[in-house]
Amino acid sequence: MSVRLEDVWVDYRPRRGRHRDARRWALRGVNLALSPGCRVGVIGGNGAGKTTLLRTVTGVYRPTRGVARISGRAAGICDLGLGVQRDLSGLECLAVWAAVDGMSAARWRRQRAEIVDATCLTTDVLEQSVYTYSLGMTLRLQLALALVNRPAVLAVDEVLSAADAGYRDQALDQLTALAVEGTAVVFASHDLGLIAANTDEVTVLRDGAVDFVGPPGDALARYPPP
Amino acid sequence: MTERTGGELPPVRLTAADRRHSVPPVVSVVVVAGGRNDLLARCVASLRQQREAPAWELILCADSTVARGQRVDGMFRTGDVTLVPGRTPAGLRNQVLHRARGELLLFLDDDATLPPDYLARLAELAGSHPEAGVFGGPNVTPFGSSRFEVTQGAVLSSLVGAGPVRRRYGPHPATEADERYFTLCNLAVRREVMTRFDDDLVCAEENELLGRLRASGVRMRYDPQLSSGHHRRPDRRGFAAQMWKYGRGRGQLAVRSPRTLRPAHLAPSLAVAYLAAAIVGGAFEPLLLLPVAGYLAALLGQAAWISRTLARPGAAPEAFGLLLVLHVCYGCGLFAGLAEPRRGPARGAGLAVFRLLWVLVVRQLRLRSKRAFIGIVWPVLAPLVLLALYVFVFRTVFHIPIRNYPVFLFAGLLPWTFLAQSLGAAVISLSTEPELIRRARFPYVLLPMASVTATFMYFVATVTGFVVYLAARGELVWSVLPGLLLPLTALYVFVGALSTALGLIDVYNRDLRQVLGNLLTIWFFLVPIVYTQRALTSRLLVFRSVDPVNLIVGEFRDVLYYGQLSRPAHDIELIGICFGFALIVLRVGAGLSDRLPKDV
Repeated sequence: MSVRLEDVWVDYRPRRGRHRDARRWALRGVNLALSPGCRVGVIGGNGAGKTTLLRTVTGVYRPTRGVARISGRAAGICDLGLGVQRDLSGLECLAVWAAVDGMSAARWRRQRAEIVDATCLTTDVLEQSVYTYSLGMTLRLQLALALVNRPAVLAVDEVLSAADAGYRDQALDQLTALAVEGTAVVFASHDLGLIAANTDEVTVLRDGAVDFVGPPGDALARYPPP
Repeated sequence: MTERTGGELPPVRLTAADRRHSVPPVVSVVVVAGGRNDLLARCVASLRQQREAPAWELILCADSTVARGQRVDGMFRTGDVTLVPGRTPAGLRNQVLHRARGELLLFLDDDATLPPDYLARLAELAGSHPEAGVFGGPNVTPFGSSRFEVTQGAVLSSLVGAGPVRRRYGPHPATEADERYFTLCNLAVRREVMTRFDDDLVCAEENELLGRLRASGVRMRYDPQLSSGHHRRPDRRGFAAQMWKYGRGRGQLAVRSPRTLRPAHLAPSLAVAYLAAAIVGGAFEPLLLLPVAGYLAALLGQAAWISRTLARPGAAPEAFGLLLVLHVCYGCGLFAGLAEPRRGPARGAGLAVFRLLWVLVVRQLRLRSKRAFIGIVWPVLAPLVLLALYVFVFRTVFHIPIRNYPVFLFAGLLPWTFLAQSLGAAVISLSTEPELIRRARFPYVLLPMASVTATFMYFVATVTGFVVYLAARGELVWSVLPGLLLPLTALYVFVGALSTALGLIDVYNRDLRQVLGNLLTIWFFLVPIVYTQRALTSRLLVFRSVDPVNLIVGEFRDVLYYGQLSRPAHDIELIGICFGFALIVLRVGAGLSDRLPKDV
């Protein structure tokens, strides 16, 4: 099993104001099992806990209660923000992300050309600062790294909506190929068509709790929740 | 004196009833057998004497690589004995975890014995505390032990002897607990929360496991009524070896998960290091021996207390010796454990941390050069600009009577500028990086450390330039130059720790970044950078002994301006303050790392 969440609860606490002592539970008693090669979709309304679930699956968030067991390397594409490194070039960004994702120096040197190819961006573009990039181009950088790094678990949040139609189809094909090679891929999206066509099982979240788990057809029939 | 030959005990054979009950067992007792069959027989006998116990099963595992495996197997022909190839005790237990059917897994060592109502109490406690996943109590010296063993138990359960883990060895009030309260010779874990032990650890595997369980929110319950008997070592050599093993295991664990290391664990090692330093430096600095005298007084006081508790005056010298053996062996063992290379992926993980730090440092340097003309060289120029300003103000305007004032000033200004530049950049190093922090789990402390390390590289370059300048003017005393290594290291460690602390504070409260400049100005004028130490009034001299920057500036000036080495007492004080502060920050930072991705 690549990931097993057992009765996982995750909370956020406001840092300031009169509600600072109040807990807001983003996940409530979630159980989830991701086996190698599975493609799982996560759907739910705004604030249902999708992103929190994906960040818990990749080990970035630790459960406040319950147990999250993650076997192997987990990677996530949950955010296309660049932060302070927006002045770096595309290649420099890739080098930083690869190190943060745990890629060794030797492997980075060996696979850099492969990653560059997977971005479908020219070398000229990759040498420009990323603040000149569109969201779709930033997505290409992140996805290329994930595809070459071959993590045991890959969580992809609603970011595919930033891609143009052609690249989105290509990216979905590549993610399917990644799953065939053994990576557990979990998508979160409001695009129900994308979920239906590209997943084997769907988890419906509602107020942080799992409302339904089952085949995409049955899950979509229950969504949006009453 | 305890009789340890197995002949006096009735021969123990596991029966089908011991092994498998007709109803599913409530408790699975997992015992790892060493080469001590007589003790194992006592352990099993104490299990079979349980009264009003819930259904239980015994799972016994032994190492098959030595004759002990055959002996254990022969001893329990009908029992459920698992023989597995040579492994650590943790590896042995991992091998049999999947066989356990009970709701509670009770881990015992073969030298432990249980009181007759232990299992009944355990079941009752687990029933009355459904929220808890781990249960345990103290292991006490068994009835009938020798005087030496009784003293040993008293030493282990004493405050000076075992500090925060003394509750493991003597009864204390029932309470919520953590890994400090339990050992594997008396530990019960609900099967639903149980995970594998780290089988690379020679010892302290339960602490590693309990740390993980605690981090995942599992609550723990300590109850003095769950007390077991634990056979003590028969002689000083055995006791010393046991303490060495405990220390080594703790050191190994600290390398794997630094957050488990508490200041009290380091105390014996630091005491040993201090004793060694005091023996070497005591001849020059008699004051160094004062803490040693204080330490010996604490040992004597504890030994006297043990003697009084045991109502045996002769126990005091024995307890004193055992306390000393405990600290020395545990302290040296901890150093050995820390120094051991980590096997397999763990070692690679250590290298990956350094690689990530280097990548982040390079990123800092690159970011400095983007959209800037002088960004890449400004950290070198900044102290020179300040030097020109302060020389004008304090020498030309105020006529400060200090010989060779620019050199005097620059020797103090250099470390200060590094500190001010680092803190200014590092205070926002965590709160401005949510994208990176939420990308993957990595040691977040590397972000402020990368910022500090990048500035430190400039600082070292500037110091090198200054040394070359002094050498060219013939004002450098070469023989004392190595004396600069200690304040350089201490400065890096201190500024790294302070930057991390400020970075963490800034995540939760943004006021600090507003007032940091003003605080640094106040601090600057409290440190004798533009004036001499002697210019301070006696009331302000207190800063000299508590402010590490004051000590560091003094040491820089000793080497680069006065051409002399600092006093050893200052060096030791500096090491103590800087490394102690860094350990505390590391500990607090590790505690916050679980929440940081959500809070940043």
